[in-house]
Amino acid sequence: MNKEQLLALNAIGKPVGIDVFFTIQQYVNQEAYWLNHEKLNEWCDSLEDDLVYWAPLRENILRRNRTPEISPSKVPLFEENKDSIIMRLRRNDSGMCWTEDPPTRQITAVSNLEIFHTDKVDEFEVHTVFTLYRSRFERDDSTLMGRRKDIWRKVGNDYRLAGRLILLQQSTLLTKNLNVFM
Amino acid sequence: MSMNIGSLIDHENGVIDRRIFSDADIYQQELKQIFSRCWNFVAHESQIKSFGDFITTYIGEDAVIVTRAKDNSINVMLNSCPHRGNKVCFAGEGKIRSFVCNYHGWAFGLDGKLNGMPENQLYDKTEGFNKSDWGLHKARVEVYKGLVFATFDEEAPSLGDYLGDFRWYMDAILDVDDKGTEFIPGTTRSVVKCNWKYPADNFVGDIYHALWTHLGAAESTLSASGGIQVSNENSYQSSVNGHGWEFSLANNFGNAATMGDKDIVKYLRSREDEITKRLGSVRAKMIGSVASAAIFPNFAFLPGYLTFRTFLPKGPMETELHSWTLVPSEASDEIKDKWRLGAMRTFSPGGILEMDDGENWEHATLGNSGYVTRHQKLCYAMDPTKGESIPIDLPGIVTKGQLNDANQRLFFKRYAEFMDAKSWADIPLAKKQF
Repeated sequence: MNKEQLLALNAIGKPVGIDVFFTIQQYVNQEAYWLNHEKLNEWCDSLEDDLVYWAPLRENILRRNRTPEISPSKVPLFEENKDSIIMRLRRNDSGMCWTEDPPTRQITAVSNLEIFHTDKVDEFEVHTVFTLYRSRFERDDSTLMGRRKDIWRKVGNDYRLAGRLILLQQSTLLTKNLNVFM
Repeated sequence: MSMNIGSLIDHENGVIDRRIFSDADIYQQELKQIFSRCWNFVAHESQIKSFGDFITTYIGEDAVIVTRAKDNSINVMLNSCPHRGNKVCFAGEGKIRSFVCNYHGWAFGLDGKLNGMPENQLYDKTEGFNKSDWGLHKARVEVYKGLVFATFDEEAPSLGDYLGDFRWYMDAILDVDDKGTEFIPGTTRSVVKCNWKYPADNFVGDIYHALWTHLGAAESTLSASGGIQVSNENSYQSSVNGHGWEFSLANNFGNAATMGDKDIVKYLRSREDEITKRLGSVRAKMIGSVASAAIFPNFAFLPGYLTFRTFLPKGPMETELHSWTLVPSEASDEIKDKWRLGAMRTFSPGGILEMDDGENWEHATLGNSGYVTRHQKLCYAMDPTKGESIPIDLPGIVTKGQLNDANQRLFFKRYAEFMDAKSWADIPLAKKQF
């Protein structure tokens, strides 16, 4: 999987039938459950080994400008593979992550699900939008919305996340951090 | 009426009045006394390489455009139309020939000059109107080794005098070879609900927090090598004109190693001999060691990670953080890409280290909403090496041991000097010796 493949996900394939749609939806919901309940190691185990997890920066660019807003060579917000996600999870599991104690409460609400066939029989193009709400301590509060363009791969009887492009909508993140996977 | 800030800051004993971190009147005084006066970092030359390139940013709360004009000059001007005041550019970066205000269509060149407007004849027939009087208000601009600074104060000294001997230290990153440096494309912007001085004083001299704040994050990349190594053996704090660098000379690549990428450490090691020839053995250790640095008032960077950032004030209790990754231009694309990822995974909103910092600064700020709380003092007293001599020749006010509040005390001393000065004539500049 690579970033160029993710940039090319434009919802032009043939929509999948109801059986595949329903099955993949269960996996998408399962993933959201893990992310919302701090079950990050379970989530990490479910990821494909060649995962590309990419959240580019957003920038305000004039329409007439020919250089693309999003490019694989720019500094991103996240650009992870499975190893770097495991590295990040070591922080959470260290027991010394003071700022996560008491823990953040978060909900990722996932909607606008669309699923398409790709030119690979075992890979599916999955589009969603999400609302990520976080509440911390007494009044800390943050809501972010974004769009996800995924590749989910059928492996045996499972569907596993192999690629994800996350398009947050804020060019200036109106929040102090992204202590979260989306 | 402006408040006397010197009375709120006892820099000798390290006792600081908390009101400077929350008071609305003091904040307004800062916009005038500090941000409209100082040389503020606005861009790296690599962001505006050729004719028509521009970026937008802020000096204090003043929106500015930074452009490269046809004559190759760099221009910094207010992003505000002199006709009715609307912003003339809403893009963060790009390439353009002129800025046309959305409101009435007044058009400005890359040099800020008013070039024209719709229905020109209305002004041609207006007695006393001269287009040359109504360009975008411009700042003075100077560049130091790729870094572009601007000031709105006609009386400010040169950038060279403003930075003074701090340039000797800056060269440890900016002048390690003939090819110079560049920013990797992409500006990361985020908002922290803290006073801008918390991040500034953190970068100018607070390595102490790393021993506790970042313990968990350090497990991610450093657990195999024994975690964060900081001590006052063979480490220093240096301060010039309020700018500061706290650094180790013991562990050459301590910061770089925290990114968890061996190839960056290998690259820095491969450069060491040549940098030593160019800058001497002390500065050859400073590009990657355990260190942090800040240029007064709100521009900071971290050796090793090579993250560069500004803390833009957005009210007494809010700061907008803009950050970039700087790389040596001579490095291979592969190494630059490793820095792009390494800095992002540590020092960006989702970075394992930066995530911890914002939380601390927000709640340090918020507490001052309480009347009693904000009338308490803060302790900047740490001074464990008082009177110890410095065994090497270093410019500026040098303190032995990087675990020390020395640079932060001097930052606030400088802060008070600016806040209470009537003009630049009242603001002392350290004598240049290097």
